[in-house]
Amino acid sequence: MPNSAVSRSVESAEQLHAHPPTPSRREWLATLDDNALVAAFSIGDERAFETLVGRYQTRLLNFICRTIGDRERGEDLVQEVFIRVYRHVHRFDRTKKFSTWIYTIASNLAKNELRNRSRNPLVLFQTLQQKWDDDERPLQFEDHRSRPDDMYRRRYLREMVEVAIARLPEHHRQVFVLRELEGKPYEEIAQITGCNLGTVKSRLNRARAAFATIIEPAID
Amino acid sequence: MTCREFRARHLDYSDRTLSTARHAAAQAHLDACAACARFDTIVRRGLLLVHNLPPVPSTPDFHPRLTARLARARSAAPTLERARRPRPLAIVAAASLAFAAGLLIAVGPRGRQMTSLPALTLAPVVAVASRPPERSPERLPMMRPDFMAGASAGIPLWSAAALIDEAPVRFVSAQMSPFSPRR
Repeated sequence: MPNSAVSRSVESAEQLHAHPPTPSRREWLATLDDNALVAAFSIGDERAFETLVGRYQTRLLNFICRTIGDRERGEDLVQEVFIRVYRHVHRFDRTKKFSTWIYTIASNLAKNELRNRSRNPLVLFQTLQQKWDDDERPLQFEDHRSRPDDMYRRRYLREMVEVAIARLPEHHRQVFVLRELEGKPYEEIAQITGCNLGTVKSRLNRARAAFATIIEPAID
Repeated sequence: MTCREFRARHLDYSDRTLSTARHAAAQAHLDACAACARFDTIVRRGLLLVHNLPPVPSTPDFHPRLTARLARARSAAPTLERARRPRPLAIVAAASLAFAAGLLIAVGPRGRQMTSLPALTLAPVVAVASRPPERSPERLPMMRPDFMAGASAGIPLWSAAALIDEAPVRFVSAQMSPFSPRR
């Protein structure tokens, strides 16, 4: 690539960041479905890609962080997902669902991460809780109707749920997160994980039973 | 329905995708079995908590980092840019291919006409082996008395040059004929 083209692309990225798209344009893009945004991005509309990032950022972060149990690494992987989408968008089959494609990329990256961790025992699991301190949480106003012990109990339950999800076996956890947290239909989960429908349902049933066993003491 | 069957079908039961008869059987089991009723309650309450989990927030530097990585990705491997931009070489290659295809289509019928012409029939070529002219042995120069007389004193150079072309044939036939045992 010639130097002028490199500098032009870097400039355009900087300009995109410095001068965000106009509200009307952004609103119009927000009304488009995923495949229309992909089509717009394929013909050079970088704002369409930004809209896709905004649409999937939190969902992918939830999925990856709860699958691998590490928020910091999860953010890196979400960024990697977007980089791959950016680079390989021309490979996306537009007759298929974009969300399935992007979740498949995320799922593969999460699987690779877990595989690498299993080879390297020095990396500890369940860092999600440790990294997620009060300072990093979004600002919440005090609810005067809640008693302190209720608030404590709610927070304790949330943490227990996070721990229970993290303790599920890898294959079960992935299906569990996709179904219970992302609300994906079984057919799409089967496509994302590369399993058949029966396997997905069987894994989810086992995951729910295991989750119930882990969370039971906290609910009682 | 047994406890084992109930737990194996719990997903379908909670999704309400069991047949009416099976759903009724599962419901009856739930009413009768305290352990399975408790299991069902724990699963439902647990899932309620899961569904109400707050989203994992991203850090404030998420977007700046992503923008920087995208810029690097653009400069490192501009696959997308290249794919979008029309390439002159590709255009020339495509035009050449189109021209060649057009030429083939235009020439094609003529080629078929040429192959359909009647085949030419030419007279066969017969090769005949050439034979050396037969000469009588007495006509050979080396058999003449003057030649033989000159041989004892040595053949001068000019006569050897005159004989050199005929030497292989003539010498062989000259040698063979005088020493034939039947003569």
